[in-house]
Amino acid sequence: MMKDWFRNIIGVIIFVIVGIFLYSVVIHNTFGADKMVLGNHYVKDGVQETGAQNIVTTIVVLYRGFDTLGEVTVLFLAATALGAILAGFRDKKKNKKKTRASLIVSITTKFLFPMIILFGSYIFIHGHLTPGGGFPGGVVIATAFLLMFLADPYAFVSEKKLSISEGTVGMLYVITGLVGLYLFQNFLESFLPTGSPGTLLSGGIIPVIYVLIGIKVGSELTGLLNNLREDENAI
Amino acid sequence: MVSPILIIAFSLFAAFFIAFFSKISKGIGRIVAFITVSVNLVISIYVIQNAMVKPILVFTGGFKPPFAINLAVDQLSAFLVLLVQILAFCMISYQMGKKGELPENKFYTLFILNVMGVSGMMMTGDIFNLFVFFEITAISSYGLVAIRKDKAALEGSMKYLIISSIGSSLFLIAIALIYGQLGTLNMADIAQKISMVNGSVLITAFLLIVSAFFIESEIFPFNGWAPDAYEGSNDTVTAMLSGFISKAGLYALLRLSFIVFGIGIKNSLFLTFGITTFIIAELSALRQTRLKRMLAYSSIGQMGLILAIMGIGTQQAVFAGIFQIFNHAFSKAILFLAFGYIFIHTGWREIEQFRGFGRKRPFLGALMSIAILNLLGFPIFAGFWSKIAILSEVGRNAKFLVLVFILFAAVVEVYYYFRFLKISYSAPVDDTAPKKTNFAVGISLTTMAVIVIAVGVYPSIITNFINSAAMALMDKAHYIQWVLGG
Repeated sequence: MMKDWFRNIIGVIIFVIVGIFLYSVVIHNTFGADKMVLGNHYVKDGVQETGAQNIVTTIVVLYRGFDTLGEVTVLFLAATALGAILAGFRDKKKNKKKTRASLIVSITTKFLFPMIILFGSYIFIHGHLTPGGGFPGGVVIATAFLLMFLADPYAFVSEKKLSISEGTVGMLYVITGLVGLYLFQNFLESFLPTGSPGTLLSGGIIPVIYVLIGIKVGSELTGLLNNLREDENAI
Repeated sequence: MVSPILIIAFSLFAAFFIAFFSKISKGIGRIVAFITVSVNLVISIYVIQNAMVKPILVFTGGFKPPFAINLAVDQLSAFLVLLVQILAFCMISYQMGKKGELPENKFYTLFILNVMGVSGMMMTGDIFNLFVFFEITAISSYGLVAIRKDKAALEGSMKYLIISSIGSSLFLIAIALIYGQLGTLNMADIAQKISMVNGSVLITAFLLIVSAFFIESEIFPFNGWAPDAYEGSNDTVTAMLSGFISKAGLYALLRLSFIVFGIGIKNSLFLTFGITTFIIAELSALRQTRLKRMLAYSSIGQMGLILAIMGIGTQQAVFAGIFQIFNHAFSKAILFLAFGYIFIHTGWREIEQFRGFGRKRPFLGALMSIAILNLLGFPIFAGFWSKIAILSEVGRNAKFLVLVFILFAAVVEVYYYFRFLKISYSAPVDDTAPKKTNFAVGISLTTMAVIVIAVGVYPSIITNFINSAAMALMDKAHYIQWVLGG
C-alpha cells in the first residue's frame, strides 16, 4: 500500500519534469526555419550530382546509402530472429483440417496475383523517377503472397527458394558496394553513368540497388508471413 | 591500405552467404562464422596499426561529410573494435567446441551481425548511422537472448526488447531534436555547431541520449532487463552481452557526451549514477545464490564503476576507465563461458553445487580463478593496473567520498567472489567423475587468460594504445579538425 503510494508520487514527479522539458523544446525549437544544411544541398545540387529525378531516392540510396544497407539488414535480422525463435514451436500438429476460402476469393486471387507482382516490380524499377522505391515495392510483392495464403491455406512457398533469393540479392548488394570501393575507394559509390534525369536508365546505381532491395524485401516479408502462418496452424 | 569498412562489408556478405546456403547445408553457418570473425580480427589489427599513426576517415557513396555518411576511426574506436574482434574470436572458437543452438545457421547469422553492429557503432562518424547500428545490435541481441526458447530465455528477451526499444526511440527523438536545430547529422559537424543549439533543447536531447544509453549499458535504475536477460541467455550470448554489447552502449554514450555534446553536467551525472549502480549491484550480487545471477550483478556493478570513473573527466580517469573496460570484458567472457560450459555438462546453477569444483576440474577452476583475481585487481593480472589507476585518479582529484564508496563496493565484491572461490576449493562432496574439457573450449579460454596475465606482467604492451585512445576521447577540437578538414 505504502509502496504504491510512493510509486505514484514518483510517477507524477517524473511526468511533470518530462512535461516541462518537452514544453521547453516545443517553445524553442524553430521548426521550418532555414537551417537545413543537408536539405538545402540535396535540393539544390542533388539532381545534378546524381542524375536521379526523385530526390528522396537519391538521399536514400546514394547520400545515405550506408544507412539503407543497415536498414535492409535490420529487416533481415528481424526475419532471421523470428524464424530462429519460431523454429522450435512449429510443426506440432500437421494434419489439422483447414477451411478453404470461398470460390470467389480463390479465383480472384489467381487473377490478381500476377498483377500485384507486376505492380510491385514497377514501383521498385521506377524508384528513381516516381515516388516509391525498393521498400514499398517489396511490400507490395509480399502482399500478393499474403493474398495467396489467405485464399488457399494449403498454398506452399518453398523456404529454400526464398532463402536462396534473399541470400543472393543481399550478396549482390554488398558486391555493388564493394565495386564502388574497388573503383573509386568509396563504399557504395555510384560507378555507373548518371544518364539524363527523367529516363529509365539514369541515376547511376540507384535502379540497380532498388531492384535488389525490392526483391530482398519481397522475399524476406514473404518468408516472415510464411513463418507466422505455419506457426498459427501448428498451435 | 585496408579500409575499416571491410569489417562491415565482409560480415554482411557472410550473413547473406549463410542465408543463401542455410537450407542446403546445415553446418555452413559454423564454418562461415569462424572464417568471418578471423578475417575481421586480421582487418582490425591492420586498422589499429594505421589508426595509431593517423585517424582513418572513410567516406561512403563518394560524397564528402557532412553530406554523406562517414566512418571516423580514431585510436579509441580502433582499440575497442580490436577488443571486440578478439573477444568475438575467442567466443567463436569456444562455440566450435560444442554444439550450436538450434537452428544453427540462424544463430550464427545473428552472431555475425551482432558483432558487426557493435563494430559499426564504434566506428561510425554519423549520428543517425550510429542509430542504425544500434538497432542492428539490439535486434540481434533480442534474437540471441531468446534463442534457447525456454521460459527464462523468452522472459529475458521480452524484457530486454521492451526496455531497449524505449531506449532506442528516445535516442531517435534526441537525433530529431538536434537535426531540427542544426540541419546536419555528422558528429563532427554537430560538435562544431553545438553552441548554436538552444540551451533547453540541448539539455533535453542530452538527457534523452543519456537515458537511452544508460539502458544499453545497464546503469541503475535503467537496468531492469539485465539480470533476466543474462540468466535466460545461453553461454556465448551472456558473454557477448557482458563482453561487448554493453560496452558498445557505453562507447556511444562516451563519444556523444565527450566529443559531440561536451556539456559539463555529464560529469556529475556519470559520477552519481555510476557510483549508485556500483554499490547497489554489488550488494545485490552478495545476496544471490545462483552463480550466473551473481556474475550478472557483478557485471552491472563493473559498468557502474567504469561510468563513474569516466565521470571524473580527466585524461587519466578516461585512461583508467578504458583499461577497466578491457579487463572486465576479458574476465567476464572467461567466467560466463566457463560457467556456461560447466552448466551444459552438469546442470549446476547454485553456488553451493560448485563445492569442490576447483579440485575436481583443476583446469577450468584455475581459469575461473584467474578471471576472478583479474577482476578484483590482484597483482600480476591486468586488473591490478586498472584498479590502481582508478583509485589513484580518484584520490588525486580529492573525491574522497567517491573513494570511500568505491572501496566499500570493492570490498563487497571481494567478499562474494572469495566466498565462491572458497566453496569451489573446499573438499568435494560427491565424486562425479570429472569430464575432460573440450580442446577448442580450452584453447579459447586459455587464450583470454594468457592475454590477461601478459598484460598484467607487461602493461606497456597495451598502455600505449589506451593512452592514445584516452587522448582521442578528450580532444574535441582535434576530432572536428581531422574529420571536417581532412
